Amino acid sequence: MDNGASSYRRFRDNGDESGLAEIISDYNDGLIFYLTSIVGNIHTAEDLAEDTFVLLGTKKPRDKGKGSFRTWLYTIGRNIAIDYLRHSSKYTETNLDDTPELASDEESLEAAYIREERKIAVHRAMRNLKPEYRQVLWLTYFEELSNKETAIIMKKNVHNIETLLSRARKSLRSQLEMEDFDYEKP
Amino acid sequence: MKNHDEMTKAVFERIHEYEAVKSARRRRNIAVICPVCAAAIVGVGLWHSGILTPPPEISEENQSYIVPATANEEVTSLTAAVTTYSSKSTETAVKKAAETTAQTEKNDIISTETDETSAECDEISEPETEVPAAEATAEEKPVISTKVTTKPVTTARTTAAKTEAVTTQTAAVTTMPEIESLAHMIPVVEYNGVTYAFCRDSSPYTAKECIGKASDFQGQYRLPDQWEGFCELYCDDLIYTANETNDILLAVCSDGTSFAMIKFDFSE
Repeated sequence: MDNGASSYRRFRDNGDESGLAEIISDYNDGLIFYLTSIVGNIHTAEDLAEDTFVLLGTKKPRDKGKGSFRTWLYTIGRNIAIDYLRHSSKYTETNLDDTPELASDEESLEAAYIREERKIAVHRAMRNLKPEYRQVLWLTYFEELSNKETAIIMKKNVHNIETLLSRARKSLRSQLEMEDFDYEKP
Repeated sequence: MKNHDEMTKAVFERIHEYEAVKSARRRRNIAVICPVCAAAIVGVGLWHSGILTPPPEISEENQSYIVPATANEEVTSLTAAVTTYSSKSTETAVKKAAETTAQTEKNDIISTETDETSAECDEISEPETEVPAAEATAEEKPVISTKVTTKPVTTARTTAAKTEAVTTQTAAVTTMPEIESLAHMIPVVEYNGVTYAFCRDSSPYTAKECIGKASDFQGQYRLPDQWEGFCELYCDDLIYTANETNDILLAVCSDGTSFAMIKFDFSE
């Protein structure tokens, strides 16, 4: 499996729109969750994910082949999200507990994408972590990317990712303890 | 939240909208650029065709290309005759000519001596300026006037008997070098040994008899390949005598205009 690279080539080289439709179907949810970890708002993340797919369809960039297609796609999404944060002066991180409609949207998406109750609880506990911690935890434990791929997406080296991941784990643990989450200690 | 189908539809709508805007912008750019390019091409074409370039200015260098209406060979021979006038050997010839004119009653002698004079003049190759012409004229003033008649060497050779006629041509002969030194813009025609130059309006005079084209005469007029602004008298223009006076010649141009040419002495 090439993680959508062949579908994208089909769309880019032959103009086959079904190729892009397959990519959207495969990566939409995961990209939205990842971008939510950056911008903190699932609706904004959804718009940014749409922008990411539109960019693929209009500019038709070429993958440099440094990693998998998913790594490349998430990198594009991350750059768009960072541009959004840079240009959005009104950006304020909103707590999902204060916006019940956003929370319900995310819960439904969690149920569809994550499925496991235990992971859903962990994912909700991640909401109160720093954006960087959310990103590295999502990419490593939910998208199951390697540290190297995570480093490529976040534009850091592997050592930085390991350090960041360690700190994110500690922060998540303390957060879960505050919420009386029962987890197995390593 | 959008499901996958809604997301796919939204993405493709935006892609198609982007491509439509892009193609419209491309068309608009082409519509703007094409007329500009066409105008530039036309401008360059006109420039290279010379329509837009200003005509070359007439400089003194250009005017130096103006040549007298007479053929170069004739001018050369004429100049040689004049230069020999100031030479030493010419002085001797002048003396002989003076002797001959003194014995005017003996026409036979005059003709032979004139022949000798012209022959001697022909032999002269380089003028010597050591002897000023003024001295000779001071000693033999009457001779000088007749001596000048030797200028039209050909005339002296062919018709020695026409001593008096030759004498009348003296003025014209002596002034020819001066003509060359003058501005070459003045129409000049030499007729019967008399130089006529552009002078005045021809309206007071009426044409009497056509004596030929300007090119039939020795003088100064424009040849067909010469620049248009050079001289008002064209080689094909007709020359007429005037009813009112013999001192006037009328030049009638091909376009119907005419001007008078008056007897003129450049030495004055």
